[in-house]
Amino acid sequence: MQEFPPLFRSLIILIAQASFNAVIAPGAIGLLRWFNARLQHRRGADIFQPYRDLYKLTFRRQSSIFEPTSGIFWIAPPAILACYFLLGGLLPSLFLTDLPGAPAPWRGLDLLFVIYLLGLAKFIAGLAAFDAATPFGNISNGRQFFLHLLVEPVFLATVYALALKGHTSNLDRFIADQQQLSVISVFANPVMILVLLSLGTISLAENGRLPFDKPGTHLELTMIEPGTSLEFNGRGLALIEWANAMKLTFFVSLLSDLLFPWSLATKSFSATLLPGMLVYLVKLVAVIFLVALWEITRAKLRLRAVSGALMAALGVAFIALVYVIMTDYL
Amino acid sequence: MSLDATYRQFYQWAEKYGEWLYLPASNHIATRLQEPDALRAFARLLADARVYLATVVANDERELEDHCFKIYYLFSHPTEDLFLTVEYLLGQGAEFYPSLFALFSSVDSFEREIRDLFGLKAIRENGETVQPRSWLHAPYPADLFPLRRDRTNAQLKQAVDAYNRDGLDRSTPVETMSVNPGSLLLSVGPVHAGIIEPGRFVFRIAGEVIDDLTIFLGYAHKGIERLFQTRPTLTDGWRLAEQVSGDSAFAHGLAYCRAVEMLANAPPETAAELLRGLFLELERMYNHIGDVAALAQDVALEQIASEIAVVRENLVRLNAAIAGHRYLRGLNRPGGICLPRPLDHARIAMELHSAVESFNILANELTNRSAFRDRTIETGVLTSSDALATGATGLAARASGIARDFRCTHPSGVYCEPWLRRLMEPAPFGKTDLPEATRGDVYARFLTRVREVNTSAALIHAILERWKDCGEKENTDFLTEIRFNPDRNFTFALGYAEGWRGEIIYWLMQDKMEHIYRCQVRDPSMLNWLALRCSIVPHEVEGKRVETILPDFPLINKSFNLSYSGNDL
Repeated sequence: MQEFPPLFRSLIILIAQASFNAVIAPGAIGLLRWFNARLQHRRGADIFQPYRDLYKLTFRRQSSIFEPTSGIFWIAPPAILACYFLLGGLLPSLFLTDLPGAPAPWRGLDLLFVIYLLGLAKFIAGLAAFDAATPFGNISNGRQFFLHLLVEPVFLATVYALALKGHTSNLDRFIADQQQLSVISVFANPVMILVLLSLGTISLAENGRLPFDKPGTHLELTMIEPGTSLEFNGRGLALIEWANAMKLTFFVSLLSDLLFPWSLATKSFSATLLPGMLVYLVKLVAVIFLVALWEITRAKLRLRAVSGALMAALGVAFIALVYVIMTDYL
Repeated sequence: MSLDATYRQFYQWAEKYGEWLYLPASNHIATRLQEPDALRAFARLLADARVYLATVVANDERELEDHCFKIYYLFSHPTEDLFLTVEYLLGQGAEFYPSLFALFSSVDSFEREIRDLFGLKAIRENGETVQPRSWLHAPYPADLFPLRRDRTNAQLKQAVDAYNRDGLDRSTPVETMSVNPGSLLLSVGPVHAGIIEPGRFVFRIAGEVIDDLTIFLGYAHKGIERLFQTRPTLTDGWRLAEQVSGDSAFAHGLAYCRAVEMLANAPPETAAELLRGLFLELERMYNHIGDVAALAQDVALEQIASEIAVVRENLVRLNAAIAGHRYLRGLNRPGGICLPRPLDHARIAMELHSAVESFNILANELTNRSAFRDRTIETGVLTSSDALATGATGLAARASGIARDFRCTHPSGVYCEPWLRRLMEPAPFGKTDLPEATRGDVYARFLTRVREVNTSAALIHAILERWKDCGEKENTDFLTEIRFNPDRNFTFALGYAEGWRGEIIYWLMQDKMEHIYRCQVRDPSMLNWLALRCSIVPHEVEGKRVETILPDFPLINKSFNLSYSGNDL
């Protein structure tokens, strides 16, 4: 593989990682649901249920055509999927893409780019909901952007804290630096803990997990994000469900990367690919289990109380930021 | 005032306004009048005396001696065991009658029901008549009036079929409703996601705030009252009564049977009354526990919710083991109770004890969760004045600090026994150490449910203690013979039971050949749907304006958990 030109090599890595991410994403959702069911004393569907659901939506159900919509409605599902597919490829889940000699655009994932790619996906989902012109879509859309409006500053502050600490907003480079440190020196730093706290909150809010939204609810009146996709069915819905699964995997991978950066392959892949994959899966399962444990103890917040929770997360991110500046820059 | 004084007072009023006075039962005064002014004046007196409007029954008596439609207003006294019926005669050929809406706003749903089922129009004080088509929806022709007796069932069916032959959808689209500029109409239902009954809720919203709510019901119309007067005899009408609202099957069956027993003047034996009390409380328990689980689920405390659901399931299985049916169907008969096997009282006592114990632990866990309190306290407040004005009843009224419980005020059967009344006194009458349980919010309704579960358990234990000393423990049938008296043809009797939602009232008129001339069913939901609306639209609580946001609606709705089927009939 070393003989390939750097650009080509980066592309292969991106596509390989994205595909891997896309393939395991429904399983990750299935696993989270299974953990949740077990913790609630239910038997629960097995972790492959989301794959069956996607299959059913794609091949068995004829999509009914919703006349009054414009092209936006049809473009939205693949566009949203593309956003998360790209994120899954760029995020270092198996490999660090910041390989020596690669051309500039392929040198790792910039966290600021993540924020705005997530925003773009939301924006497209919102447009599609407006396009369908049903009241539920618009209400959910309003709630979704209300939440996003509160999440974005938290995300930005967190990214700034990380960037100031690692002198880069490039996640791959940041992780490569972390890999040089020992476990103790990574977590002896309060910044990492604060950043993980606020990133954890962001992940819950962005994925509609508790306490922000009740996942799997059928009550349209209470929905935040799922309400925007109520009008989709068949293949469009399959793409959106898949994209949502990939979003969850993305955040879980991001958290696990920061929690345990040492398993990512840097130099040659063939040697570290298989162990790297296994370690990644173990990390994924561990973080998902933590999410399930968290959710079982939480109730859903009243919609207006959401801002309080996110303000707290903003406070945490801000403390991290101040701490970095005080210790590293003053 | 004591019962005697109240009785005399009502008797005097009835004599003064009525043209003819009669006494259908020892706790019941009835009077007949024809003048709209007399009706209004009498109703005003009653409204000032704060009696409750229990039900309004229209009856087609054109083929009977008075040759006219009649409206029976049934009032119940809030503290004494006293009923008052005001029978209003419409006059031959007349289809209009005065509305009592200004005095009793709970009359609204009855007037709308009568408008669609009988075609009788109530005239409000401002001269408007009640609008049609709020009870029977688009697929029914506007002039069907199915409870009039001049058409047979086959003719009715033919009329409906002919009306729908063209296959057009005649339902009113939401766009035709008027809206202020800037606000949005959100129509939810009648078909919902999830396994719930049909009802359409049209919210007028400004952002997340609910400005107004209109509830359209009637989608579960099954023609039960028509079926009563055409199919079953008085003896087997209980089968139909049990189908009115599935979660209150026993209470509905019981109320029906009591009405029949009143007509036949055949009070059941003591053992049967003990069993009736037992099953009525068992039904209350499993429903309250199930609703607490649903509340926990709505705030996403899934683990506690599923643990409470296990407690409920155990109770329902206990029902199946002792009564042969999970929802206690098939037990009541006019004249008593039929059990599938002798009652295993030791098992009931044991299982009940453990169920209540684990339920109390879980409920306590809920009250200690700040997240649960945060979602439920001050959410969906039904003030006691609103509860009185809308005529709210049962659990919803008690959670708003109104002591309305037929087990206490209009006791029958085992509830008349002093040893049982002693156990009941603290519970429904609000004078507890828990002021939070009477504030009318979701949390108050939750606490009231928890308290009633404990009261019910105590009642059941007391009943089982008595049962041990009862001579007929090994019997399965506890029936007194029912013999109908032809002299009572075309007279009515009341049957009532305090179900878990509130009192259920059956108004039953005997026909020739032991058939049913008219059976009106009053489920507590008939009154409480208005109360639900009141708790959601913007209103004042202790001088503060309270608004409800849209995502809280399902929680509030669940805290009332009203019946659609019992309302739509």
